[in-house]
Amino acid sequence: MNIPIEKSIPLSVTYPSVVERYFTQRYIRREGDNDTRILYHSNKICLVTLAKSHAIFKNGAVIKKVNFKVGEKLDRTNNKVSGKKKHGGQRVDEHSILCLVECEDDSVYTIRSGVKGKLVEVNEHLIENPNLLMTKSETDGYIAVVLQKLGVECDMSNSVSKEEYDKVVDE
Amino acid sequence: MASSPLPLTHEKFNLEIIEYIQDLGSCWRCAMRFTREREPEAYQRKIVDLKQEPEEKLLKTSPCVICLGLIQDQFINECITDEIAQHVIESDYDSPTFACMVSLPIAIMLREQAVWFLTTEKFPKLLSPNFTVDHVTSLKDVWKFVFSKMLEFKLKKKLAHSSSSFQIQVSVLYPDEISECGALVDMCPEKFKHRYKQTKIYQEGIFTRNAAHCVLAGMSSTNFQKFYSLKVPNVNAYYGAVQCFHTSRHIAGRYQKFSRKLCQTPWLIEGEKHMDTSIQELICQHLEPFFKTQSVKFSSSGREDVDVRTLGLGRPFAIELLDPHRTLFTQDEITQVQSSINSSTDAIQVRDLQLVSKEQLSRVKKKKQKIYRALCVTLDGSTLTAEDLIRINGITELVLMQKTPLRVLHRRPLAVRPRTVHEMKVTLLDDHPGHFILRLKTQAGTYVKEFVHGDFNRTVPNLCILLGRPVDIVALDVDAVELDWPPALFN
Repeated sequence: MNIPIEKSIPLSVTYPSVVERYFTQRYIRREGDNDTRILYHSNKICLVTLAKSHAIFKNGAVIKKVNFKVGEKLDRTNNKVSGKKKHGGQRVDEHSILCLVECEDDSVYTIRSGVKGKLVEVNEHLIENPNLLMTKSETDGYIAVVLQKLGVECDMSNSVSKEEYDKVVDE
Repeated sequence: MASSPLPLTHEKFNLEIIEYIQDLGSCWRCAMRFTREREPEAYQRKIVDLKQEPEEKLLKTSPCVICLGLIQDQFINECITDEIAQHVIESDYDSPTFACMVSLPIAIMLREQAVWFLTTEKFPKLLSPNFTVDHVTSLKDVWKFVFSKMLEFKLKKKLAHSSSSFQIQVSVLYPDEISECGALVDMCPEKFKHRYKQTKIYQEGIFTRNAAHCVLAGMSSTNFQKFYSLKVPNVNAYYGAVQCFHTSRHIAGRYQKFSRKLCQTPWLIEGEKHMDTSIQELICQHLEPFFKTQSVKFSSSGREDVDVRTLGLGRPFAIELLDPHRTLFTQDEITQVQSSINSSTDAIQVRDLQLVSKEQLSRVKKKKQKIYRALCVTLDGSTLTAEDLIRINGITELVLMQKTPLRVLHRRPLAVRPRTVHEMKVTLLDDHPGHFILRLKTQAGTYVKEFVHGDFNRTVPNLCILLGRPVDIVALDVDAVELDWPPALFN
């Protein structure tokens, strides 16, 4: 029964990635190719990232700044949560703006949540290293973590599955 | 009488008191309680020989105004000890001793108080700072004097007043309880005002011993008599449910887990079991019938993920056996239970199973270092170089800043926790490009999977940063949980 670890599972060349293992990937296509991806964990934690079809990747833009100050009085970096239930987290819904991506050519992309819940954290690495959005858009360059309401079935009707998305985007 | 602490010509005075209280309608035993007699033998006599009393006279006798017949010869049903004993014997507890608790109607407290006031008015000499109604030999004690010998004989167990872990609870009920206790509400309406509404808290009734004690304490005789006058009861008290209970026993051991598809505890999603079984169930289904317990509480030194094996000596665990009916056993018998657990499954093995004391239990929760073995792979398929190995193997006491991993973030607060990796050792896996085995010694509470893949760079540094390329974890084993408890057994 003490099988060595390398014999305890089938080895292969590739394995499902962290994203594939833990998350359901959904895509939201928006006007002007302002496309985002939402990673749904079965525990109601969601990550918001850019989608590979986002306009920013096509236009050859160079990102100057990821600005989390999305309103006169609303700064996403001021978000503070406490306790298991993430008390105090800013409420966001589908249309809430998470950040503004400002490029060298003065274009600005508005990134919206796409999912309703409590903001748990924004990716502060993007402040020092905005380029993560380009280089690791699907992993370390995530934009924010949102916790959906527990005990309620999540509504994904505003998004499409990875299969559907790939079919449309790859055409 | 054996010992009477009253400062007068005791015998004569005591007889006067007894006679007076009996005239109030009390039985002789209750009357004697007011003389502070505490010798069991004094109460174990039988003054009325039931067989010689004509039957009508027996029927005419009213229940004692205090004990409602409970310790009154004419009302003592010889079968009662049989009934209690039979219930206890059927419950099948093996404890050689027992403690007995009798819960009495509150009406008896009121009645005792009433007799106290009447008696002390008649015999003011009785009153002294060191003799209050609380010093009257308690009815519960006298009940035990009268019944315990018989119970001991029938149960074949020894009465041990407070030292026994096995308790028999006998409740005495009285049909007129509620109407007689109404006087308490008249005496102190505020005390009970809210209780009528709080039906959940007071589902057993609003009249508790504590409340009665509060109301009666410090009440003057005149005040008391305004609301309550002693009456001969219409009916006698009777016996209600008999409940048995044994205090918890605890056993501990270590488990190895060989399956990557087994949870530690039942995984419930909205009350439904998500997996067929769990470590807890695999172990406890053998313990429950052996210790004859209905429920157990499982605890352990941390827990591994469903897909993680635990090898080496295994992970320490402890189980609280609630209300065990079986408490007499040998280590050999426990070892046999261990064998039956081990032969029932390939998914886990248990060792060092043993009885432990409650005091030792906190040790299972002590923070301890863990040794892990992780099978990892580079995502670009590259093989680690000799320099990579030297660099990684040289790292010691590396402090990680670990944000609560995404996969547990829904049930743990968001925080950045510093966690130390004490040692690291990488060995390449020949024939499998990009694969390597990482051995780690870490502080308790380190999430190893997240240390390897970085959890979206939320654990820093992580192995991807240390190696300068993306890596992922393919499989994880716990090789050791460094806790020297419970003691290793050689079997």
